[in-house]
Amino acid sequence: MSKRISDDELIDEFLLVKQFLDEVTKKLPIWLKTNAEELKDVLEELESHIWDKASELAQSEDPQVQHVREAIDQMGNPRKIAKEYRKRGKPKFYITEELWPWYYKSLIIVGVLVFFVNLITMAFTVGKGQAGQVIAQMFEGMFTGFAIGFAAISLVFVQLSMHGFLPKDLRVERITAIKEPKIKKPAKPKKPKRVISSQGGFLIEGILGLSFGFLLIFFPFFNYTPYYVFDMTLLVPWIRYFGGILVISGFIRFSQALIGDHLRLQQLFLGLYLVPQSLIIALFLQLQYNTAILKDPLLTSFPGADIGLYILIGVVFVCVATAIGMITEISKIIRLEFKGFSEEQLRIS
Amino acid sequence: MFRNIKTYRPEALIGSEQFRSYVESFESELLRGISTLSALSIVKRHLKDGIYGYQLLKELEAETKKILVIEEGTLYPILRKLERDGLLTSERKESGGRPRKYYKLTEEGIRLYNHMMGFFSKLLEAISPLMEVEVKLPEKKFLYCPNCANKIPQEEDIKFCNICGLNIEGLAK
Repeated sequence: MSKRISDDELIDEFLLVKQFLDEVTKKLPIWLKTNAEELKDVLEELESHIWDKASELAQSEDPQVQHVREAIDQMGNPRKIAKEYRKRGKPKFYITEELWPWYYKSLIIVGVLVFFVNLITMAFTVGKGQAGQVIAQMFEGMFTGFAIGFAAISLVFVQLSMHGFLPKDLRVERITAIKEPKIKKPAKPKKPKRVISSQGGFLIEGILGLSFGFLLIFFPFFNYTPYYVFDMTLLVPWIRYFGGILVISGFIRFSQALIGDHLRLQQLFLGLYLVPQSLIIALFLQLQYNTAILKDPLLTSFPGADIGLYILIGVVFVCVATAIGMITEISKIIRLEFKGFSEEQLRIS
Repeated sequence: MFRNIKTYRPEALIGSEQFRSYVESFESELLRGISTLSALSIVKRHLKDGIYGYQLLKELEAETKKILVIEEGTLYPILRKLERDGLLTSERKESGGRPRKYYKLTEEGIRLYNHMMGFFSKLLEAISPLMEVEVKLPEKKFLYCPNCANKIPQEEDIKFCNICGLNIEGLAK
């Protein structure tokens, strides 16, 4: 019976059924409660059963309160009924087999984010303490971040498994307006857009990084500082460090060119690429913090010039650009996890 | 079945919370698979028109002389799970003035049911000496695949088991 009127008007037997169904609804898992159609289906089926049973108990007369009450008693505990609806998925170490890929991906994302946040934090602390202390703080931060992230993600997924969530319940459906279909000329099939550069692209980046890096490290004119217009005593090692970072970056890109379409290794190297990028931020911040490297010598050579402002603008520009680059790398790691190498194809190795 | 026992003396063993919870838990574990299989057996009898939950329960009670008791409310989650797993299909129909959901076995459901039933039958036969009961399988009517225990009707002219692919031609017909 689907006769539903306000609580005050409900006659007792209807109220009893309503109370029972409300009790079951309260304890149902969220994925079922939020699916209006499925919820209606579940409740209608239970309600129909109660009225069938009550009618049988009333021996084909109109069921009275006591018949409905007995029928409800025989239905069992609402909590137990609701619990049965939660049983979805195959259990595997407290998390259902269906949710394992999501669990795994979430851990990777959290891991990458923790790594990134700690690198950025380290970049801002360089120059404010001993190198060993800064690195130790970074590792401590990473360890704590990984441990908290791991515990939190595991707890969430155990709970989701216990409530019978499946990956399809976690996906957000895109609601798009229905548009009039336009008649278009058949377009040429486009090449699927790659999430990361092609092997050729990585190779070029690698070669450029290695060449410029080594050039800056071994730049021969560094030995002839008297020819320069200002004192380069501290700037030379700075440029050599920069060259070293470019060499590391180039080496990583070169390795990526050799790896090809190996998902996990590409993700690993994209993650490793964050290291030289964060070092670039640290190195440029040194120009701001340690004025003896660039500002003081330039001021000696160009007294009265607003050198400090130009350096600040340059440092901010490089740091922001590098940070954006790092975020792009992280997004590539995540997109690789979910979409594979091409945006249009799903591919997980 | 303990769920059917409504009164007992407080000093009886069943009065002990520990004993009762242990046996109830054992019964629940044992019944989980059997309930599914029994429900499927009833649904299989209504291949053409299907069967709705309450009718299924009544038939189950009658067939098992009220020994197998499925808590009524928990039947529907079981049916829904079987439907989700592709063993059952459902259709809404109006009957007796109420909207009812009729369940039917799918092709895949029939195959899985035969396999599960065959496995369970052979299991019962195997453990029967341990329990001092006699189990006689209808081997004139059905062939039980020696490899995977799939239950295959003897009248069907099948050369290979449709579950494991074993050549069953000429086996005990």
